[in-house]
Amino acid sequence: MSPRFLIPLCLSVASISFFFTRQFAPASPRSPQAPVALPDLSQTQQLESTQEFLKKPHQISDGPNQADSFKPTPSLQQILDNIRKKDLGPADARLEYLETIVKLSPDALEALVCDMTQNAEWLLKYNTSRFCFEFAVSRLAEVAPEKAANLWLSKDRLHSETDVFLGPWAQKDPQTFALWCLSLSPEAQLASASALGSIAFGAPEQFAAIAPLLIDSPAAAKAAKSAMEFFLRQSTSDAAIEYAKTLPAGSMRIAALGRFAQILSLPDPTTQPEVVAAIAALPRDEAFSLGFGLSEKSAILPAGPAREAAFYSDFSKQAGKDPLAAAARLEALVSPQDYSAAVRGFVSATAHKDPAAAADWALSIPVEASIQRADALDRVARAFVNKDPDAAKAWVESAPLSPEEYFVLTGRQRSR
Amino acid sequence: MRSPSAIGIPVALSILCGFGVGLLANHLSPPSRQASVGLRSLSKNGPTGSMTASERAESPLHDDIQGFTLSGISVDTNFAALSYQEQKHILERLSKKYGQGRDYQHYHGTNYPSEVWLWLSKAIKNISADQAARLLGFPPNEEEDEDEDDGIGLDSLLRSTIASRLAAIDPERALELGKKTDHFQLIHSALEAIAGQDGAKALRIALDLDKVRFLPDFEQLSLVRGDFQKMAAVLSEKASSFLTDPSQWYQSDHLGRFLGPVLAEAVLASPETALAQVHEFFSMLEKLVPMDEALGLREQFGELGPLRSIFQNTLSILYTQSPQAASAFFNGLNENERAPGMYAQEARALLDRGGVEAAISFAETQSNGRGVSMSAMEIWSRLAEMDRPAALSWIESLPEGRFREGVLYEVRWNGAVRANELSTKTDIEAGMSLPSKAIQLDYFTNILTNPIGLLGVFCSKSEFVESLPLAEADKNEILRRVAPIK
Repeated sequence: MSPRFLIPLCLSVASISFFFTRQFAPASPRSPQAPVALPDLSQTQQLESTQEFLKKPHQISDGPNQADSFKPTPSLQQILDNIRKKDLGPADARLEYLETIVKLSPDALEALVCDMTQNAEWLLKYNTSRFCFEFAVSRLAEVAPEKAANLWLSKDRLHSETDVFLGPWAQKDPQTFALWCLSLSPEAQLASASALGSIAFGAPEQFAAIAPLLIDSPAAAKAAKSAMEFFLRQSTSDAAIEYAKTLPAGSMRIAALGRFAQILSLPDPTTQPEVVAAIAALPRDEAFSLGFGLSEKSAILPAGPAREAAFYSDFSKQAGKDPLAAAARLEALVSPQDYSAAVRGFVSATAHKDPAAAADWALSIPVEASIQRADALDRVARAFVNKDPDAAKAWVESAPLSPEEYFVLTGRQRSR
Repeated sequence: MRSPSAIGIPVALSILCGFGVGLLANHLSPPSRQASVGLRSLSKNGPTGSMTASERAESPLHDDIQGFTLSGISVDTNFAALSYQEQKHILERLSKKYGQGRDYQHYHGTNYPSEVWLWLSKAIKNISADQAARLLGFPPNEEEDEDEDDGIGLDSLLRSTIASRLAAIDPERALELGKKTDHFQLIHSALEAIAGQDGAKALRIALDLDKVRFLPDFEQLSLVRGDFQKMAAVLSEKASSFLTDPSQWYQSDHLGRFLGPVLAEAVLASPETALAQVHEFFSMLEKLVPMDEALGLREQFGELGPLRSIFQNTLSILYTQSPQAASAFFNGLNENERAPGMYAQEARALLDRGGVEAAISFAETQSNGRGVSMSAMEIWSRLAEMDRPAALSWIESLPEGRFREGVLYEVRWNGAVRANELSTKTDIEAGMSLPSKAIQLDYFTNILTNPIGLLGVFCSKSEFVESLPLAEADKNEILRRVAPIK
């Protein structure tokens, strides 16, 4: 064959090979976009593998062509020392740090984050290395999500950093991430809920698609809450209500709508009956938390713990500033449920100033509202003891208390 | 005619070469399913290039920038050469795409992938002070501004990055602009940059600001250069004005992050001299400590208070750099100069250095009750991390006292941290995981005596006890123990 034809032929073959390689060869694991393998080990196995990992010496690769030239993994302190030596200003020091982290191999990055979570813990606690920590962990979660996830899983205290460790993986590959979460212990599932919810940021339909898988998970309601929070960052309130309806009926939808009400302070109960219904159906703790933040809307909340908490919070705030005005408002309340919750709030704000007066208010709560009454009496008793122990003892002996109330306040049965 | 091998070898080499280059290309760029984009338009147009409207419309930046990795794109100088409108356009696009999402601290509610963040930092590195100021919303001369500028909307990460760059070029200008407009990020960045040159000067400026809240929340990457004594003198000068206007002191909880690194350096250089300076400093400013209580600072910041936060911060840095120097510094502090958290730090250091026995022995012999409790919390959480069932069983062997109380309190926190949720449900589950009825009763008594979260606010004691999965007699026993009027 003539060289005239051989050269174009070689070029053509090379091009075709290049094309096929680009199309069908797997991307390098170094690429941030590399597909995430589903870690299918049990928690125990993962813990062991992490411990094994920690025992091994770690190496850093300078790049794809120097894979065999090993260096010890730098610690955060070494990285910071190196940057300080360059005598850079804050802006350039941060840039230098970003560049250093981005150049690290996944293994080196994993070792660095391990080091940070062990040796620099106090710095993290006091926020002096949050920037360094968050960037390194985010980077690890992008380039090697399974490493970040295993680290998160191996240390309970990292569960409070769920979004940093798991968020990037959750958003990049929702289904794999959800399946991984569901393979965890119930406690770890609950801890991962906010990352599950973050799937709704940018891909709300993907969260809705995996939501049915989560129904029986301890993370279900919390993930739905988190999803609503993320959804609301990029959409309108009407769309958010419609979105909540795409979630499975029951705890997930209720939680999502409850969070909607919390974020938007229950914008319009008359046109959003499904939100009001969800508030009425919220679990007690959730309803309390919601009601606390809705003190200004106490009167329009449905009956139940949320409304009680709102009345409590409303009167507690007002009594702290203007007890006389609060007392006048109390007198005007008609509903025994609202009154009881409001008095409890009033007592919580005034007992330490005037326990005797607060005691009269506490005793005015009907006995039927036993929870409100018991709590108000307990607050009065504590304030009394702090201020004047003898007066407290005298009061408890003479007050018109039921035998149960007397026992709860004194720890003994009333002597006859 | 050539032999078949004469044809085959070059062709085979071509195939191998093609595969090799293809693999390398795969290694260096994102997978093909991703939109391969980035700011290609920037390098295409060159340093003086300017995108036309149609080019801009076709730019992948306009479509989906999800996949951009910026591989191989030189951006070091190009961004600075773009017009303001182009810069604004690019940054606003990025801000819209990535400017919200995450909740944690330094991303400031953003969702920037690491490489995009790095690219931004590089791109912004070469902009001028005028360009930076303009991107922050300060046109060079409003009257001469011919562009129809409807302002620029950037997320907090971008604003911080640009503010930091402006401060790096011209800290005084950043400070003035920041003060004029109450621009937090500018003031923060300016003080950070000035502190890198003269810590005492930065501290004086910060304390002279109307709002001391501008004291920077320095991180490890920020350098504070200065002499601890000079900086302490600046603070001391302000003591009388703190006493006159306590709200300034109230807002000075970041002092530790400002002075801590300088003091840590002084301790490492000369421990004895530094400790002598610390005692002198504390006695000069001790009169401010009672204000912590009066202003509710103890409630807000625990028992630390702004003054002790300086020493706490110093210790935090020292423990990572030289645990021995940290321990010596801790031991050299007087009792009233310490905060409870410092005992926990020392317990942790002893745990790492000398083992469990040494840490426990340290914790149990301290006279600061809160210090004992916090040390116990630290020690137990470490043990639980290694072997949780054993750590839970170990509690039964502990004698009554502050140490045991601290451990029981930590069991509760540990439960909340494990589930990443503080609720009465996690409180109860943590308690029920304890190995015996006796220790369960002690645990529930402990958390009802130190109520926090919902339990401390709205869930009543009797309601909580009623919900416990315990026998009536056990519930009554708990109520008896926590009764307020004995």
